[in-house]
Amino acid sequence: MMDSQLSLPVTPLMVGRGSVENSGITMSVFLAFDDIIQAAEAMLGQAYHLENIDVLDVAEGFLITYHYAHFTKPGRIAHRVLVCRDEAELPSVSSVFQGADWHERECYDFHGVKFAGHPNLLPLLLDPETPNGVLLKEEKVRKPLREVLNPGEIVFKGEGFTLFDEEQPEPEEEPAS
Amino acid sequence: MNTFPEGDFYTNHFEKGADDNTMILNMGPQHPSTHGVLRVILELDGEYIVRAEPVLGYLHRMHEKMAEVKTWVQFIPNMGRVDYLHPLAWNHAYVGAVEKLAGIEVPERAEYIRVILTELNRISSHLLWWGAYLLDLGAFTPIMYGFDDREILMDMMQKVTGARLTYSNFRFGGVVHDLDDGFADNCTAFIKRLRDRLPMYKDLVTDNIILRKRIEEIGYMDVDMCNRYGATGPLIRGAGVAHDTRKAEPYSIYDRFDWQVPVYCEADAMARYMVRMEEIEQSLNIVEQALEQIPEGEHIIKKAPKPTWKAPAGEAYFSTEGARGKIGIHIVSDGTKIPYRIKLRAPGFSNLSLFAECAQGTMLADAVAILGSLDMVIPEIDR
Repeated sequence: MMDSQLSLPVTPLMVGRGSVENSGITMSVFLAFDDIIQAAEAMLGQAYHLENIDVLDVAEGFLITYHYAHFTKPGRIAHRVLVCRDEAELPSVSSVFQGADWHERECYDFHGVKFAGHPNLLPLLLDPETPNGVLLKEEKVRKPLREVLNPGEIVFKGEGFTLFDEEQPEPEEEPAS
Repeated sequence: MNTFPEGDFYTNHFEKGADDNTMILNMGPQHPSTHGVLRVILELDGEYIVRAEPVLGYLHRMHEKMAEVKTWVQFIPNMGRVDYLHPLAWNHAYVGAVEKLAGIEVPERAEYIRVILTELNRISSHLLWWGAYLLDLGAFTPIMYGFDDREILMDMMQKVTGARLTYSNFRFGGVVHDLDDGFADNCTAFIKRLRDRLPMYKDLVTDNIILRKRIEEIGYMDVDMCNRYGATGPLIRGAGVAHDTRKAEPYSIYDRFDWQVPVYCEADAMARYMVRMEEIEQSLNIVEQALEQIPEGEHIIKKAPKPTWKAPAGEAYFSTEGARGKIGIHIVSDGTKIPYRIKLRAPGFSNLSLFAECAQGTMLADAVAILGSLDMVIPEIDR
């Protein structure tokens, strides 16, 4: 990538630039599902640490956000992956960032998102008998991503990435479940 | 699978290693050195730890779920209860995130009140940690001294916030009450008192050979480990990195004060101890300067959001430096009265996740000293 703040070995789907003053997120990077481990390795190589993993339940599916921060640079870089609700499973980054182990277990507890290759995907904060996904939203209150998220100034956008376009395709064509 | 049929879910999922001579020991959740209700399942080879696995969730209260059923203003009291030892840093992170999202300007006096109270709160948190840590290690006197000082702080805080422990007096656009008339004098007297007491603490405890032999060179956590686990606060400062959110990502008015970030390079339990003891002095410096600089004026804006206030749609992330490390709050709003999603990043959560790796190969008695050096607050970890 051309930006000095972000050098990734993979091509993102979209990159939005924000600021510490406005949103606290300096860079919002949308990634394809199978690129996140490579992207995480690149972040570790640049001495970033994983702050947390956040799951957002939206109309299009689950938006999983990895917040990376640096000990000397202000702000944070958000790596974002949209996964569909029926097969919510991502590759685990706990082999790169061991701290992700608990964050991923928490996502599994609260939203039922699974992580392939996780060493120990057991309930973490909830009782083992609690059904997974206590933080899931009912269908009628789910909002489309573009209504709740502002990716900032779009500095790069790949072909066919229409999530934040002004004109959205007809509702029935959306991959909503 | 464990061969004991009567174990619970977690012991049954704790795989015993290949060595036949090891023993599985359950520590907690009621063990006094786990401060609250942390549970650790340990595999021991004699007195040495082969593997440690913390089990969380005994104090889980589902703050993130509560956030999605309350209005923005109604969620503020929850912030007083996430980390009961340094609640004002959480207050600050939450109101900061909402103010960032909505573009609310905070009066200058309110910022000063916030900083003064948050720093006093940091001191009371560190004093409690100090007393309780020494208690873990077998020394009874320090907790009495720590509570003696803390009592004065709590009385001062009570007058301003109305609470002794679960402070939640920050509001969007300011704070609930202005400082009371005697606050500045009480505070100045307290600063002098604590500065006189700290050398005594140093002589009595910090330089004590028994403490040094006990916590030096145990619990090694270097920069690489902190990076991989996302550990912050005294852990990273004890590993030689001058990272403090108040300096690295300046918020509120922290850039107006002259203070230092204490750093130690040994990366052991003693380094983390020293960082916290010096942070008490630095917080006193900040409070002293803030008391000199504090301007007259409003303590809250005229049009402060009401309980039914609607936040604009969008997201914001705000991080503050708590006594245990970097607190982060990520809020997502769909433009209604109720938050769409609030994600809380607790520093203790990441700090404790490092324990399993750190404890490997140490003695069981040292594990207690390492756990104490992490300064855990379980309600914050479990949220």
